[in-house]
Amino acid sequence: MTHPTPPDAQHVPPALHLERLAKRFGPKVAVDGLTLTVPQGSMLGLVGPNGAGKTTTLSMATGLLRPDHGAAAVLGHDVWRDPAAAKARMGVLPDGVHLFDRLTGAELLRYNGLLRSLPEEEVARRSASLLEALGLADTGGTLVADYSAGMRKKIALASALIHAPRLLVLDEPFEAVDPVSGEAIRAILRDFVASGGTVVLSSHVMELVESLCDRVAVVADGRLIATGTLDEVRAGASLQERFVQMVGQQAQGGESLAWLRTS
Amino acid sequence: MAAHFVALRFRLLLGTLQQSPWAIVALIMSVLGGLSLLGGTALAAIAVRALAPELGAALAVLGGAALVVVLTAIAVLVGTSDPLAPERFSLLPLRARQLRAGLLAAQVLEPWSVVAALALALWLIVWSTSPVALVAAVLALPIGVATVLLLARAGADLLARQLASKRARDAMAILLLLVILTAAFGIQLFASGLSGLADLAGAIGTAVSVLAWTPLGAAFDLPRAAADGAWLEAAAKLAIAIATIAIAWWGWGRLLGERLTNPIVLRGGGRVREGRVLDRMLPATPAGAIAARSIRYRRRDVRHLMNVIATLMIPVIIGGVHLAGLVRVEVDGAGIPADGLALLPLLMAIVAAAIVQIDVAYDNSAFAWHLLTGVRGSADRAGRLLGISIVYLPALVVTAVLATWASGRWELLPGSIGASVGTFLLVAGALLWLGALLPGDAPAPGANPLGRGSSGGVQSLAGLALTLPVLGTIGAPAIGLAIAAIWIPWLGWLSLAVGLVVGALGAWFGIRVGGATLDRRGPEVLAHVSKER
Repeated sequence: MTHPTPPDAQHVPPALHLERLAKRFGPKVAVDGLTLTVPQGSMLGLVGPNGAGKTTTLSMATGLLRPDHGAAAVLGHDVWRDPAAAKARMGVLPDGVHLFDRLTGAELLRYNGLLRSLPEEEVARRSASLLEALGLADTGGTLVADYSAGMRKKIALASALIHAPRLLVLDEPFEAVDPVSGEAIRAILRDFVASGGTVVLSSHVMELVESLCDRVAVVADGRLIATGTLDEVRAGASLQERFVQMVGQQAQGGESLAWLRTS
Repeated sequence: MAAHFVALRFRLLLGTLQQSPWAIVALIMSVLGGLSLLGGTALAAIAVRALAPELGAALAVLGGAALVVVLTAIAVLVGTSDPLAPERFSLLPLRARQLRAGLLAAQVLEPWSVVAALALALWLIVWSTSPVALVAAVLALPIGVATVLLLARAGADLLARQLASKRARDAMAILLLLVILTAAFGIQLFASGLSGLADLAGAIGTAVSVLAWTPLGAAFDLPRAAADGAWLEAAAKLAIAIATIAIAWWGWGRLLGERLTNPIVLRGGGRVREGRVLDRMLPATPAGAIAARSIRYRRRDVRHLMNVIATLMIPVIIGGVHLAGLVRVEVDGAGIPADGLALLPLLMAIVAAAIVQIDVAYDNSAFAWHLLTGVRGSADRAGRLLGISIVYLPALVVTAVLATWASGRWELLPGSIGASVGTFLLVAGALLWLGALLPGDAPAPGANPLGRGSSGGVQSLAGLALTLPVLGTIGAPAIGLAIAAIWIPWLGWLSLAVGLVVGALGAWFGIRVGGATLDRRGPEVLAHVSKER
């Protein structure tokens, strides 16, 4: 995947910059001094084993969870000192968060659009085209509470897009989404990046990250253990192989489960 | 097997306790609540034994049957969020027989089962009138306890499948709420109507003698039959009681077996109308959108709907009881004349405003979208206040008109409106601010609306602690003038003016100060309300 010429780092602020972010929950250190820079116009895949701190990191980067230490900035605007400016430029699909699910899809989009102070006609126009693009146009009158898991993911994604942000932060955007809708979402994201937008998405599916992203960040135990362009990180191997090499000491399989063999 | 289930139950309890110190406070409050229920039962038993021992037998049957019904209702409501729901075991190689024994063991140790069993045991005091009765009562006690626990559980599981659709669950919750409210006021009515007890005794006697032949009451009438020496009757009732237990035990096993292979899946609701009128009526701003959402939620979310119904029921029930002349409302020993009815909307205003503190808690983690969109705290507070006001202010005014009409003195109307509208906005404003500090607890979206957290949690006590002094100081002029208007009518107009000023001040405070607090504490509020309970 190619992306527009790299912006001059001197003058153009990175789309997302995390500086030594740290968070602990009781005795457990969830994120341990994580620093990451995502240049504008890139699509970054955030990968890491379960419990690595991906969701905690993204929550701190998007203003949902106050970090113990460190800072996060969106296009040069500090998320925690100047939240209004940072949040206006960022669209977020959080994972494991309820939606206002006693609204219909159209009502939910209108709600998010108006919360962001968009003009009413603009909200109506955008939400109609978003519902169309994500295959939700024929769900009028159905509460989001009665949507399937994949449909909820799509309406949440639409809510993150309605204000035309310049940075998208998506936590597991393809989980439970059917292949057709998944392709539609990919097309939307590619188009978004081609026009100068930036995407940060987390995923457990390495093939998906390889086919979609031009940059990768690998997180384990709350620390960043590798980041760079896709080719730099996978270093000649497949991303799956590299990932297992980097974080997967336990993924040996083998003799300890010998009893599981049926014959 | 049974030991596993009991251990599992206690691990689940320990887990919730370790999550939050508030859970420990809540547990202590429930223990105190249980103890006070038992204390009440003991006092009642002693009073009946000492003053009216002849009533003991009838009350035993009534109380036992009521216990079965109440425990069934609790089990039905808890069932939708039961951590030991049979479906959760359907992937394990378990037989219904094993599951039944394990669940029964775990249920016997549930707090409300323990309270029910102890309450039945305390009722032994009543039977100390004769040795035969006491011995029979002691022997019948395990039968009574088994009846209560098994009938409740089997009845609840029988209803569970019918209640799987969202609409049915919502209807059930609302029905139960109405029953609880009516019962709460019914008991008051009954207590204050004791003078007419003599007439009532005959009717109750007939009802009890019928009830005592049904599965609901047979087990609790055994001691009386034995004490009367009616051995044939006692034997027949013993047979009914034992058959009841056996059938409930067998039937429960069948129900569990079915749920292991054909799990109950909660179904969704139907289509809704997208209310364009509401969107046109309210401004297309963040606060307007939040108000529109708030109003839609009052109708579409059963948790909010129940709060609305409960609030609207208050004047209906109190006013009805008062008008029927059954209860004399007394303040400082002096009866308030019917004029006092004009102040009914004031009570409603305080109850309606109380919910404002935990409004964010009902959103649960969906509140994250308010943070993500960067909506200002003042817009959040203003939108919630606007939405709730659009629901309740017309209701307050209508109630004021109706209550004034019932009191027969139209000149009390301005004071009635002034005191209630002013107090509503004042308390709501104060709680908008408090809610940004202590957001309280609410049942999770889609969970059992009368379940855990439905009382607002321990933090809502802080709401009460704030409401009373606010009412006593800033709220006092409007309320005091409205009361004084009963004797000096023109003061009502003053109450209206003062009420509107104080209400506007309260709303301004809630939106400005509460909004600034929410701007500062947004992520902490989110962390509190999205915590699993």
